[in-house]
Amino acid sequence: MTDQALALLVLLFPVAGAILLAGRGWRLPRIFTVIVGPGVVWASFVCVLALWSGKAHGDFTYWTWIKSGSLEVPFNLLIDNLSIFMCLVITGVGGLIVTYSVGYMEHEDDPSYARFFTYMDVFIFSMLLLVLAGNFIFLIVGWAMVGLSSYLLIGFWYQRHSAVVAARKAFVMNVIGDVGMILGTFVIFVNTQSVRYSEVFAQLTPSQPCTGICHLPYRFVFDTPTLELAAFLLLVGAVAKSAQIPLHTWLPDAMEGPTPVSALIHAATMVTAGVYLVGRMHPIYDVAVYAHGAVAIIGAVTALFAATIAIVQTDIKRVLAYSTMSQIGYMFLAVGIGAYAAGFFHLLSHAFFKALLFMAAGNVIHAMHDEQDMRKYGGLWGQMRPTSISFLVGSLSLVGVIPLVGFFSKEQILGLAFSKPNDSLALIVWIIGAVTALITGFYTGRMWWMSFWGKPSPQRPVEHPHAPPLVMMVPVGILAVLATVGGVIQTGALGVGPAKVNDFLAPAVGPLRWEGDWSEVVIGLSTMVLATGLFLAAMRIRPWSNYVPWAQRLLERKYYFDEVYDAAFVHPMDAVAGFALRGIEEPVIDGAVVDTGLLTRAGAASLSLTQSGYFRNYVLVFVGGAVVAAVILLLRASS
Amino acid sequence: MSTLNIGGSQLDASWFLLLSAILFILGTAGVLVRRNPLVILISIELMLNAANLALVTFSRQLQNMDGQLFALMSMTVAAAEAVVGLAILVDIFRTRDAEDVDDLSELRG
Amino acid sequence: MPLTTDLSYNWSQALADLNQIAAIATLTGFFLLAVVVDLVLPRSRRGGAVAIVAVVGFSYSLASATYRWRYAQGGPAYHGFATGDNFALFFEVLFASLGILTVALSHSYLKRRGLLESEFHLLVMAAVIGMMVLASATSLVTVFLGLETLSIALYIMCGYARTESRSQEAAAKYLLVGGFASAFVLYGMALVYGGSGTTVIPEIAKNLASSATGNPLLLLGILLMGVGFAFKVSAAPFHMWTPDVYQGAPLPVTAFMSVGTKAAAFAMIIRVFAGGLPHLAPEWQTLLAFVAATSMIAGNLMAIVQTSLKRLLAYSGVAQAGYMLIGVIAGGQNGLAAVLYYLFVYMFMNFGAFAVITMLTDADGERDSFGDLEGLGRRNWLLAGAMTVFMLSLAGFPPSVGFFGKLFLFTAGVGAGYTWLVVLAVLMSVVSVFYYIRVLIPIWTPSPRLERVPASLSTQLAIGLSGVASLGLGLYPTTLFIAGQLGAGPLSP
Repeated sequence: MTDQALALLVLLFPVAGAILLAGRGWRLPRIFTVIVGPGVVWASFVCVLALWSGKAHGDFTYWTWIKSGSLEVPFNLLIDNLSIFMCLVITGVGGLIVTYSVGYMEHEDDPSYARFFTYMDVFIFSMLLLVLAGNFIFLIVGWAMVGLSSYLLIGFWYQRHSAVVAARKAFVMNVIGDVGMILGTFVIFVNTQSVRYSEVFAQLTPSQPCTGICHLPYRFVFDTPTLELAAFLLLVGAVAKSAQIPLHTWLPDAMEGPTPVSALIHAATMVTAGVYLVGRMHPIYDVAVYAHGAVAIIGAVTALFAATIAIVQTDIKRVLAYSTMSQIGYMFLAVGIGAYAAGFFHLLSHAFFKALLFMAAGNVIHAMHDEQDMRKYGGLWGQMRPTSISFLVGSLSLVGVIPLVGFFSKEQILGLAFSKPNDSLALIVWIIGAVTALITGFYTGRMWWMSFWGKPSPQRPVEHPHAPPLVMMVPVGILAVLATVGGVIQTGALGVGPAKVNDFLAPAVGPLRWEGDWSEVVIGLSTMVLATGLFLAAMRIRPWSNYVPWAQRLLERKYYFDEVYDAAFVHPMDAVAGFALRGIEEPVIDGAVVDTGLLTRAGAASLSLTQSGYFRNYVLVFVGGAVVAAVILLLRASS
Repeated sequence: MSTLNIGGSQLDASWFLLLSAILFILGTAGVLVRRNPLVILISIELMLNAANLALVTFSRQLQNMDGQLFALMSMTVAAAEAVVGLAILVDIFRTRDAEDVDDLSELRG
Repeated sequence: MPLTTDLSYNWSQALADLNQIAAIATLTGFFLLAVVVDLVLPRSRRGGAVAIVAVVGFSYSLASATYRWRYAQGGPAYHGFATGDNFALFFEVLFASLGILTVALSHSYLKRRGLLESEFHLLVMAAVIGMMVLASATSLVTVFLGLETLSIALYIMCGYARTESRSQEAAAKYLLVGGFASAFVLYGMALVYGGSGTTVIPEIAKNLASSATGNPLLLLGILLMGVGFAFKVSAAPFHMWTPDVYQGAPLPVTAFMSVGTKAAAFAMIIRVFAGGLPHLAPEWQTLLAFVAATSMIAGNLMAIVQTSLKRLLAYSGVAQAGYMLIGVIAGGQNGLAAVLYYLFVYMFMNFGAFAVITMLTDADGERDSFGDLEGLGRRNWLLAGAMTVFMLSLAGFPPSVGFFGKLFLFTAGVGAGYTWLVVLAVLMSVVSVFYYIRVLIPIWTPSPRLERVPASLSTQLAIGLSGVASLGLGLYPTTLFIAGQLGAGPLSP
């Protein structure tokens, strides 16, 4: 089979699965859903493996969708090492998580069960489309569909009010990002007359071969401010999708969704789309130096900020959510300083250990009858040994303990930031990153000791938790193994062993432009050792915050972001509507003919007051509009 | 040629246009302030006829038949509109007492 | 000096003129036939028979317009009062298709509600004739005639459920505000006539080629006509009748007028402004830009708080009028082609959406709250799937037609330098996603309601066709866009 057909198959399997499940799944026996749901993802995985082993690469055009004037939108898939790398993560880790869901969602009734796997398959398809798309238009299509399926999955338990609210919040934030993407694409199209990656980037190709560090290695058709604008607009999309400051508030709330959803979407795949975007657009970001710097700064600040909030969270999934934000901050930091391959290696290792943490946490939540408060756990070490060990592996990997995968990926990022020559920005983000690494050790330790060590909490809902079923334990085990030994593929940063990820991605994102030296290794090692120390210390110094109550409060309120947003955007709207209701609507109403239901509704929105139902008001507005139009015309004529 | 020769005396065309504008504004005001749907309908007819007057004036002034043709057509149309309008209003009067257009305010929001 | 005009006319000229307006002539013929059929058949047989005559008439009209589009040379007729150019033909195809869809939709609805059927189809035909006249009119006189033919037929249709107070109210409101707007249009036309010395649109452009700017008669004429036109396309702030009338009128009427009136009014705006007053473009562009901006803001914001689907779609229509005005303002072949494209696909998505709501009607009356859509995914998958397509298309999700419509409109807008308007439009389209998606939530949320929603074959065909068109024309958007460019040809320099 040709690579072209294989690449299309990767996309078609999840679509077929979603259609089958949506159409018939809830009427057929459950086993049908169990087989089709995860099966199609694994089928895609096999196709990706085939592409990988066949060393496939190319820009395959299937069909020209629009051809009108200068606008030509083909449906083309770009197969290169970067997209294959992303597909491996999406279908591989994704496959494990979807398989895990078979056990996790077993309490749902048949229609909901099928609905869940339909959404999951739609999500996998959208994510694959996002990374495989060979032009901006289909990138946006995938981008928006990912947001939509995330919305559906967060609100999966639509009977819960909080889930619906969280889903809506996530959707709104994501749409803000989508607008950024669309506007950015528009700027690019206007300037290059193309939406195809290869054609856009070809107009940015190097004028001279670049050796060493190149700040401005490209000749570009559009002037730098325009390019910066495009890069910043695309960054808005990346920031929203990856839950970076200031568009991050949706991610913690998104934990209302089922735990496999959190593992798949809000840890392993969707939230890393921003990192992918910056990596894919690296020819643009290499030229747009300000936007590129902004990526690094946003990443570093988010990393630190989210890690500090994670210290005080008591909901186990929320700790993981903030930790995810923090780790994606690292990835942003890496791609922001130009260490693309390092960022993607962290993406891979994060997919391993964070999916592992979420699924292990899922086992616990499942056993605890949906209780998510860590203070009500305790003492699980003795009762849920395999899960506890897996969670410990994930935690230590997150902290960066040698020789787990997290150590190698995080060490490489920090090392490269430390050693980037002639770049003070890289040094600043290194300091932030290093501090964050220490805090990571602390909050992770707090989480683990609190949940699994010590004596069972008296408030624990279940005395003797049941062991998770095999279908849930096997994916957790596989990920635990990967999180343990995954690091061997990339130990090069320490000066020994291979750097397979770097080599693999070099054709797509360019080779690493500078090398670390021994000092970087020493500093990296010592940071990680310190972090490990803090992990252990967290067992003893849990009630730290009694000494600094104001800090505790600040962190518990998450730096008041939600409050500020409410005060800045939500409350004014409510106030306008409330004023309209009490100040205008109620005194004006003559209570005679009026249907109260209609009225309350009318009061809900100030604007709809103008629509009073009275003919004379309509004519008045009509004439008023004509007068305004006349004034505008006169002003125009006289100017 | 800005004057019209009517009945032997010379009248500037702008007088006719002024009258037409006044009629139009009177009609508009009628629609705005009157409450009885029938009277509103009559006000609208007044506005249409103001336009007809303007058309005929221009036609004379420009020595060109288009305006008169237009006025004839618009009179026909206005008659048809009045018929349909009366029919609709009568239909409403049959089922309820609607002397005030404000009674027609069930649809809103 | 005697008033004279050229009145010479002969048979061959008469035939040639009739050929130019073949679509209208055919439909008028069938209209008369339908009247006769209605007279001679017994009451019980009339409805079906007239429906068949109407569908055949529309089909003939559609066929003759398509034929002329492909093979005939369009040109002026009746001393320049009408034309059979591509612009007119494009709209004639649109209106004839709309007529077929409307008859298909209303047949079962009227039965379900126990309303008289044959008269309804006659009114649809009359309104479509008015729309077609409007599209092929090249004189202010014929424009006004077409406008009133269409409006008067619609006044009656709005009040078609005669005993129902909401329907009565809709008819009365539409009549009074509509008459008011017509007076504005007529007065504006009178002033333009006075300022240019002719009512024939191409000649207006010719006469004003040198002396257009600064003439107060023309300026005021543009203002008055613009206000009236904005009323007809239901653009803010002249839109206030729209939600009330849409909500009160029987559903097939709403579906019909939401698409038909809008398309006809856009044909009128383009013909009069772009065709007749190109030398005053800055003036009417300013006016329309104001109207477009207000429409997009008011329409989208108001739609958010609606609880009635009919009202929601009404406000959505206000917003959509705003988007389409961008294309008119941008002008040129691409701008106008974008408008034509959007109007054509708007027929499928908007008509389709109303058609789906029509199917919810039961013996107690119309059902248009969000709750009535509950569980539609299980109750009738065709309706649910189609509604999903329509909503996503209206919201502008790719690869639906709505996406391309907006893409073409906005590209034209930016190309013409109206970036601020396009930015506003993009922001407002984002707002619109909220309420379009909101319609889909009850449809796909599992619900205990499982009773089937019945739909007659003709309606299923109408909805299915609209759904397929909303997706299919999105997968191959180029063909229709090229047709739009051909249609816009006669009016773009």
